Amino acid sequence: MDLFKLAMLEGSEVRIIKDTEKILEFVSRLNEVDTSSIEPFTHPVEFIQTLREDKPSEYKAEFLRNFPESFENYIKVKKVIE
Amino acid sequence: MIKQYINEARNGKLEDLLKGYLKRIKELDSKYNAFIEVWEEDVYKRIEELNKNKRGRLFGVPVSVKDNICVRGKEITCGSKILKNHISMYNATVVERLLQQGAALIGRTNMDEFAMGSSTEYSAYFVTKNPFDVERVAGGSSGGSAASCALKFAVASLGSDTGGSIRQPAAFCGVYGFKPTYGRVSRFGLVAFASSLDQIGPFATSIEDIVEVYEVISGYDEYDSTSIPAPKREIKLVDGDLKGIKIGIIDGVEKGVDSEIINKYYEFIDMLESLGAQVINLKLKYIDYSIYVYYIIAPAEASSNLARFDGIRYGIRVDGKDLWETYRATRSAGFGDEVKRRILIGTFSLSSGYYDAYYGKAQKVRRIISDEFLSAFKICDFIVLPTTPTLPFKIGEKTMDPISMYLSDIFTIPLNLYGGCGINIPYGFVNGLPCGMQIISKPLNDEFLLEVCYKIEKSMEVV
Repeated sequence: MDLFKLAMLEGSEVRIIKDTEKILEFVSRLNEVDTSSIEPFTHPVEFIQTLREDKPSEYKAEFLRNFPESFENYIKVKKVIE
Repeated sequence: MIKQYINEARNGKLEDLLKGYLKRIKELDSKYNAFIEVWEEDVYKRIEELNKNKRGRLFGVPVSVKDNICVRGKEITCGSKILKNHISMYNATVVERLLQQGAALIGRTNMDEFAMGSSTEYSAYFVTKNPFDVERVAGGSSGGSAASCALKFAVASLGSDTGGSIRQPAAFCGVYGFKPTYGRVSRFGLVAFASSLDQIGPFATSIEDIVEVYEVISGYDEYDSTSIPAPKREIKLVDGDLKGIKIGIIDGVEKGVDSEIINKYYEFIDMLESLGAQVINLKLKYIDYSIYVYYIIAPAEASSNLARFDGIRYGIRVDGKDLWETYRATRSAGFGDEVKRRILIGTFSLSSGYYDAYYGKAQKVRRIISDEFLSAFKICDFIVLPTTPTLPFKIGEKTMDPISMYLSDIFTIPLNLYGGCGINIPYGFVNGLPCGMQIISKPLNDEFLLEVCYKIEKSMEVV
């Protein structure tokens, strides 16, 4: 599996691959624990997704300032549709 | 210190005090690198504003803020190249609350990139040096915040804690560092690392000051869907003994820990007993697995949270021949090695075919560990642990072996897994280096924990 592609990272820096392999081996000690019939821990608190009002925010100028490349009020990006 | 500071500030000394802090930072910070950016002009503007209206529980108090907490109009980079020149468009809720109470934000502090690290050696900028020995680390990931407090560059500081990133640097720098119960302090405006583990918390040089800042920043926030609506209790700081308090100590805590730390630890326990606390021995069978659980779950959540950094909407962009190449080139140039390692671990753990064996498994063991701690808190009020297995280590000592860096967190990680509250108490020095003890408790016991720590602090002052 090309993890680098999946993670959207370039290249095959050997050192990082070796580190990752060691870490995966390190954490695989979890297999020693019997977890049959255990419910996974998904959230520390019970919560309900709160929604905000469907109103546009006033931060347009600040958004535009942060775009790496822009054209008028748009972000400029590479072609998406072939 | 905060109450005394505010008194002087309200009596005409505000400008002198804040200029004094700025002068001290200018003279000394080049030696320590606590700050990425000092907001000098903003401090002068703030002095003018505050002189018109002398209200606020933190009137004029200089507070430094970790570089992953949004302050409107200021650059925020999470210690990373990938967010260079990104300007926050809003204040984090904690920042808004500090400002409403009259605080003066003095600057943003250095951190390990995206809060991944235990020393600030993974910052894209520089390493923050230990205030007591510049050849050693200040801890991480909130190393800059801890150091800024210890060096009196700020009266208090805000950091974030996902696996110990407030408590560990607090121990290394000799200051108090408090991680509130998960959900007690809003994460709105905190750049997310691991959403089920992250919490913002204060650094300060006394429990009273920790309480002042905590009471301002904590409490329900509708902007954070993981914010707890349960009401807070008023904190009453009163001198006294620890009669009736049950302290748990965990069997096998000495494993892999420097002997000097263990000696201080037992000295600390003896002191608590002499104050009337009852010590209870606990056998926590699964606690050793905490570190493996964390180093699957945190990277998994991080790989999701950091997917947004792709060169498209904010931060740097490194052009590729198409969109995919742009993502790859930007992320490879923008992220450091530790972030890349964690994204890879996290992506792998969540991928099809491996999800159950890694992430799914880790979630189940997290449940077991969490239940074990919550059961322990039925028979004791608090658990006491060393905060760190070693004294502050030398710069460069652990960067060649990521796993040795991860092992710095063995005592701090369990708290984040079950979402409770915990604090580092600075407990003297060993060979001139600060040493810290950690007290942790069940979720929503923050007020009681701080009240008991106040008693401990006052008892230590008498000695």
